[in-house]
Amino acid sequence: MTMSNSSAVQNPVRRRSPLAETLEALGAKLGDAHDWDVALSFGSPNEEAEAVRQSVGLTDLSRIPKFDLRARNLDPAFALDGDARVWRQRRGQSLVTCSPESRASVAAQLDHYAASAAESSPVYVSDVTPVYAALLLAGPRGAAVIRKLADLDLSGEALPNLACTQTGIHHVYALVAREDLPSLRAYLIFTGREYAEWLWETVMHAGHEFGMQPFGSQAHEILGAS
Amino acid sequence: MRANERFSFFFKGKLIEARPGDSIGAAMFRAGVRVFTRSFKHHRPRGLMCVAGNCPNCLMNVDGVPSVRVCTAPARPNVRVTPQNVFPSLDFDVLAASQKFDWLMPVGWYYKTFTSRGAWKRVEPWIRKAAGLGEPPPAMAEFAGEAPPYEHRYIHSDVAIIGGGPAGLSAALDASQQGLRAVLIDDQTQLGGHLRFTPSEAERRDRLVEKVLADEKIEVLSRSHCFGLYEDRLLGVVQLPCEGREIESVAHVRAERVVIATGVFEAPLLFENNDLVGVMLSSGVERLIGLYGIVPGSRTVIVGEGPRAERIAALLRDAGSEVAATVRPDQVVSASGSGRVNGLRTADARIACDLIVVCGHRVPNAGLLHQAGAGLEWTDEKGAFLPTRLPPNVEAVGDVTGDDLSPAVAAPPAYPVSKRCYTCYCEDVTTADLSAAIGEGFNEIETLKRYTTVSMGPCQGRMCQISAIGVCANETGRSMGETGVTTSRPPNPSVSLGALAGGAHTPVRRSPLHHEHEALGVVWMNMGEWKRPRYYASDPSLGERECIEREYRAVRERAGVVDVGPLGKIEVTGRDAGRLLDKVYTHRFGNLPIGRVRYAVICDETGTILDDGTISRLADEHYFLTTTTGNLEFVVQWLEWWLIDTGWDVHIANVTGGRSSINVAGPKAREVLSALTDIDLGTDAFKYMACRQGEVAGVPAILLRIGFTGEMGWEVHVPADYGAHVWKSVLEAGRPYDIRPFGVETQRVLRLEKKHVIIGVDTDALSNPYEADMPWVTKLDKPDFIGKASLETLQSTPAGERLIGFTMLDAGRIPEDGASIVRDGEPVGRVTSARYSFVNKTGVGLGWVKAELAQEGQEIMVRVDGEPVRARVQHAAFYDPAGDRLRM
Repeated sequence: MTMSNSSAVQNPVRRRSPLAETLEALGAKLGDAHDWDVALSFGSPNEEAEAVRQSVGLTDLSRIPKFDLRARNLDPAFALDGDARVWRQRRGQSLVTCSPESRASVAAQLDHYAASAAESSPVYVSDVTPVYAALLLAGPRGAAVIRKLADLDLSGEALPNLACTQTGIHHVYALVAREDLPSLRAYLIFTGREYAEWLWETVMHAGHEFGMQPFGSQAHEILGAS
Repeated sequence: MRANERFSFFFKGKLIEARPGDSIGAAMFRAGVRVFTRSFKHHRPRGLMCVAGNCPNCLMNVDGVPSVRVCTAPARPNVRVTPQNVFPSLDFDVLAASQKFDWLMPVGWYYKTFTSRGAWKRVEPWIRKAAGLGEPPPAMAEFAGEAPPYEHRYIHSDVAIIGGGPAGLSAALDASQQGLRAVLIDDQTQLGGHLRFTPSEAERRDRLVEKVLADEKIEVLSRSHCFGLYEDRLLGVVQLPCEGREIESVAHVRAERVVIATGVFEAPLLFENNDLVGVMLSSGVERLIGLYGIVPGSRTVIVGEGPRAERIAALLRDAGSEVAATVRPDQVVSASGSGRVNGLRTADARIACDLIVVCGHRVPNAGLLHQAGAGLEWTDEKGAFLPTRLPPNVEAVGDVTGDDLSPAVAAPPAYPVSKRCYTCYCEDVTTADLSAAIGEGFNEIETLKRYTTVSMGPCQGRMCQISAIGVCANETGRSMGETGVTTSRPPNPSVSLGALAGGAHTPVRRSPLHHEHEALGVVWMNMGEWKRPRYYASDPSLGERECIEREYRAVRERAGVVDVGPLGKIEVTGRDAGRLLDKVYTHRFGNLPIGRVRYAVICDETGTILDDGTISRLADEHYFLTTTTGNLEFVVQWLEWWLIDTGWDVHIANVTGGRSSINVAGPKAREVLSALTDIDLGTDAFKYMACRQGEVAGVPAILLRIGFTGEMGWEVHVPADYGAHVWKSVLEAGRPYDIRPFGVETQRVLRLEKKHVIIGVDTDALSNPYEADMPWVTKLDKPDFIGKASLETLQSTPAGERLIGFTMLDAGRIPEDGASIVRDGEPVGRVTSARYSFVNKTGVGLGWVKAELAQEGQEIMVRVDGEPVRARVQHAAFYDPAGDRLRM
């Protein structure tokens, strides 16, 4: 089975993250990136990046492509070319993410994989980009923030880089995936789109004691390049 | 504030000076305060006794928070401390007169006196006021706009050590040296346990504490009480406010191994007037002198013997107090004084003093071990119940093991049976009370506890359990070991309900159109976790009913649009998708033509209706399902459950959050949508109960032509990220037709006029399709499906009740949802939904009645404001019964 093409839009309409209004209210400067309204910065990208390095920051990554991959017999070594990540949620179910630039390539690879699957062991791929919101919590105090919200063991042994786990954040389902930035621990938190604003507020509240601030895509780029 | 700078706080409106490191209680004591609280029942004055946060003698209100143990609560600038449970003041409490009448309140007074509910209801508020433990803190609602003052956090560790004394510190360092992560939980503000107030151990303490604090593998939770040790070594820890932490929080600590290093606490001895202000435990005196430099009395009598009594005497002498005598416990008759100690009576003397220091029982603090499943066995040699049979991965180290203990008095102890010899300081239970209760037959320690409430107060037995066991043993002629201990249960120590509850938990689900609604003046309603528009108050001069009518008129006469985003949405794909739907739903779907929509009902094995919705066939192997909002997760699980082990090629995807959904309805809906799409929406090209995929406002969309409102209309489902764009486009395209957004309340009126049922509102956990007046949803001629056998039986079984429509015959009277339907004053049914129908100009509704009352035209009586009001049964829809408007 191949994915629904529901989000393969060929038109100039820009997509709105579930957090667009929240970020605007926080003073975000919005700009266009891959047909999405994206929070570029909240003032000074360099200062935002430095604040993340020193403590912790939060940004909206709901725009990253997300695919639900269901394959009963998925090879443990299954991987995709490019910057795609395969987050294994449970046996037979994974969430595939990639950068917006790699979207087409990753979608094609997944379609090919699904099409070549044996009939007795079908593979299903769905584009779930609009289904899930994604927050990126980055910085040395990120784990301390999550510890206020979820009953998770965040030690390096229990959740190494590029591993993920499912949890409840104040009773709401979330997938927490560790994807460190260069020299900086970072967690991707996926939850249902309809919970996005509530989760943002909850995480920001938890991070208040650590001086957590939002950061934009420009600061994210600085952190990714550093 | 500099490290050595003094500061002030308020006690009863007066300034109290404090030094850095002071507890509130210590600063107050230094300032001359001696009476800290009044006892629970007798309102006797009580003063500092343990100075360790164990006894109830210093419970006070601090900045609005009741029952704070000020002896250990750190002093902070400008906090406001007030006494609690006093009337009118600490120094003069008129309720202390209750001591004179305590013969009126024997043990078990409540059970003996308040044998009728009415009597108890009348006196309970007065008793609560007289014998309360302070006023509750402000309700959560009063914290509106501010962060709730409580929070939770979760900690995972290899080893959890409870107790920050020398044994706990060493255990933490040992764990770290083994490469393990350790969390060290200590109830004091500073680590070190008894080493903190033992001058000769200062160097050892500093060395240990320095190493622990410098160790990155050790996380220290100070001023944190472990109140429960649960299954799989989950520890409940309450972290009280202290320097650097304003908020009270609960930590959920999970550890592979738990080390209990909780040491011992000291418990009082039994003699008359043992609760007077000025009677202190020896460890309390050590703390006052060692931690705060306060000498608690000028002339002291020590009750105790042996090395400990000698050490305390030396300490007091060095601090400048005159030690008048050291008296063996068995020689003590009573403390004397009126409220405050002025002497100690022995069998042959009275010794004047202003301080009595009791070298009490040293009791292993083994409650957590007991909770974990360890045994507690009495040892005469140690004079204590010692932990045995520890469960796997739970260890005990240090004094809690009892290695260094010796009895304070012989066991069972001698004591006076007196109304002024207090066993339980929290609940004012005396030796006379215990003796009387045992005489009444409550001679087992567990029943004695429940009857007298001994050990059930804030200290949870720390001060009284050993004495109560002693009294029970003595009175029953059993040994201490035969008497045994009561069960240890969490929480111990006590935890505020606010801390247990934590911060705001209620998640909020928001539609992709949330902010669009806000811009339109929405009035919200909560539906489960969802925020949904109830109606739009776009014109402040209009009331709710006028706004709803305006929205209603738009839909019936022109066009309206409603956000149906919270509807459950599921995509079912695969070769066997139709087969699964045929198995789970009562209707046929395997034969549903592509491009068609069918109403769908799920029943369970008993034929009870579980959910409804629509199923649209978008492609040969692709179905699009909608469900009720509240049952979405259930329906997904139900489908997955019935798919297990079938080997069928089916994929179920919950896409609810990923789709923004609106319903454009009304006679002008076609014109509105046609401006936004190339799809032919003509009557023949896009028939009622048909579906299409295409673009709306440049966005890929699924369109379903259905009619929940009773008007021609389309449900439009688009990717959520485009939801706001499509919503705004529809409103713009509808401007020439004066389109209006409408809310859930308007939708309810519209659907009720069409007699459309809402599952879970108009049906309940016993409703089946036949009684619910929808026999057409069951296709008993198709192969087996869930509930078929039961439905076949139900089809031929006379219905006991029927779901009916009714019209109110008195146009001005609208029953509430849930109102009774009555006959001769007896209930014979209930209203499930009722609203004013603008088209019928009277109330219409749905309800359940006994089957014999369900005849068309039958007159029934519906209770409105307590009065029966006439109504008439109507089976056809109240609006457009032929459905012509849906097919336009």
